[in-house]
Amino acid sequence: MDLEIFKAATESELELEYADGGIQAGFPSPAQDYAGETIDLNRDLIEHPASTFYGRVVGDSMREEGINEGDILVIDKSIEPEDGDLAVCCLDGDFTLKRIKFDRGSQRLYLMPSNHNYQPIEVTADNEFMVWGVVLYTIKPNRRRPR
Amino acid sequence: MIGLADCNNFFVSCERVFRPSLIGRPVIVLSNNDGCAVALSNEAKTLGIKRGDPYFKIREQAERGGAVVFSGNHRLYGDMSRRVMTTLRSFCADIEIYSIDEAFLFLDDEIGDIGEFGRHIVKTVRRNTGIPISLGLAHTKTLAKIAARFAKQYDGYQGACLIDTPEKARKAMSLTAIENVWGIGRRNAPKLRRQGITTALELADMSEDRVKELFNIVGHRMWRELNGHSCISKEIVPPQRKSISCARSFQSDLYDIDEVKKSIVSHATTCANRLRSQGLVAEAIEVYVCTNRFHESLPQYFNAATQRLSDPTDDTSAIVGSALRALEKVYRSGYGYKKTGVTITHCTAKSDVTRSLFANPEEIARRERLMRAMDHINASPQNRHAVHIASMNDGGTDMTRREHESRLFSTRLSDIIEIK
Repeated sequence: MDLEIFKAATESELELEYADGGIQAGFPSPAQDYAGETIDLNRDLIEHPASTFYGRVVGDSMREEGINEGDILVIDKSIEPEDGDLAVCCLDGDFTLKRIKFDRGSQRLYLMPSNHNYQPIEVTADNEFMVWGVVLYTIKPNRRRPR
Repeated sequence: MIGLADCNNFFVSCERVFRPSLIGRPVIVLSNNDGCAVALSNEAKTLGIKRGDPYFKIREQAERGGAVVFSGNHRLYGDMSRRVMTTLRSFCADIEIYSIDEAFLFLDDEIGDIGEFGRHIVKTVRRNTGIPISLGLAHTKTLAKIAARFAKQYDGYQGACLIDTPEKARKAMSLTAIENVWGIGRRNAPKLRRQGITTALELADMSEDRVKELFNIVGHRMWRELNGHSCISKEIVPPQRKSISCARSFQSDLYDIDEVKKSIVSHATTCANRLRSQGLVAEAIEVYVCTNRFHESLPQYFNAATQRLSDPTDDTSAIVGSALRALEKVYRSGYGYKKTGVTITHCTAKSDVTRSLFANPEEIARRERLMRAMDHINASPQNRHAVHIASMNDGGTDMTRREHESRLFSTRLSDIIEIK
């Protein structure tokens, strides 16, 4: 696997800069102009802050695609859901995380789990249903118990 | 064209975004101290509960009706308001935020199908934030308010009601009771009703001379607005607040003077913080205490006293000191106090103040540095009372009653929604 390493900002409010450039004699370093540039995940990944919310995964219904209990979901409510999207759905008053499967031919809507112990759910006119938001990213800890 | 975007049952809607099972159920949001109902879902209104009803009076009624009750979670509502306003701004750069749940939109006249555009705004705000809004569109603010009421009342409008012709305006005004006209309110309505004016249309059809005779300049402007002449201009700068107040009801009546003092210190501290955040200074401060008027069998007492400050100030300790002196004038032992309050009755902009001859500039500068340091430390939400005046001895514990508060779903990672 190719790995590219970027400089990451961990705090969007506190960005530490070091290169002052003004101490040594001679020409100021051209790099000085770029010293404040960092990757800020809030800025770079969250395209619509006003409609972005976070959620936490409970249970194992999406386990087979690597989404586990405790993972944090980055949810954008402004995205129009499409076939195949991972979405936070609201089914009869409860939140549920599933992939949306919309069959154009039969005009049927299914909520697909990623766990062979669970069955797909067909959404019918009898259900209270809405897509609460589309999940854009899943944030998961990769070390066992970081603390 | 002016639009008024008004969030429907805003506090209730905020709670419902994160608990969708509450959609269709009666929901009640209580005031700061779980004192009374401040927001109701339509289902709660049909139970016969009204805004302003004291909670203990409606508690049984609410339980019988299966209502879900929340303490006001104002940090959540503030964040959701910001999200709604940001979304509105994406449609119209020129907006005036009128309150936590209302904003005026000054729309470009170039927009083709304004009704369609309005419905698109309503739909987008609903989808992006989860908050349902009603949008009134008209040529004046007063008419836009009337249009928003129609949008809210009738589902057929799909959230947006457009009043773009004099005929539509007359029809809408004929169906709008005089009490529901912006700026008339409960105070002026009886006066108008005695004159035989019962609807907005009857008011609009009065002669200008008669209007000038009956009302002040504000009334006259409103009359012109009803007749389609826009004259309530945009508030470029929000009007400076002439008074600042903080009051609270207690869970159980206070009989101990130290408890009452503590509440006054806490209120005065809050007022001083607000003064500083708005760049104002206090000239006079009023303190009031009152007993529980719902306990009719107990002795009743209500009193208030005003204390003038020798030098206008925003210094917490000076304001607390004056508040306690005012309390001494009104406090009577032997009564159970249900509510206390502090009001800064006269404030002025700090920049307008001339210092008295005897003020010591060094001492003033030193106190200002202290206040700045205190505000800085207390600025983060977790530290709200980290540094406080010594007499507020348990400053850290919030005295507010919040039995039914929901989580900070949208602003705190440990509080986010859980999804199965």
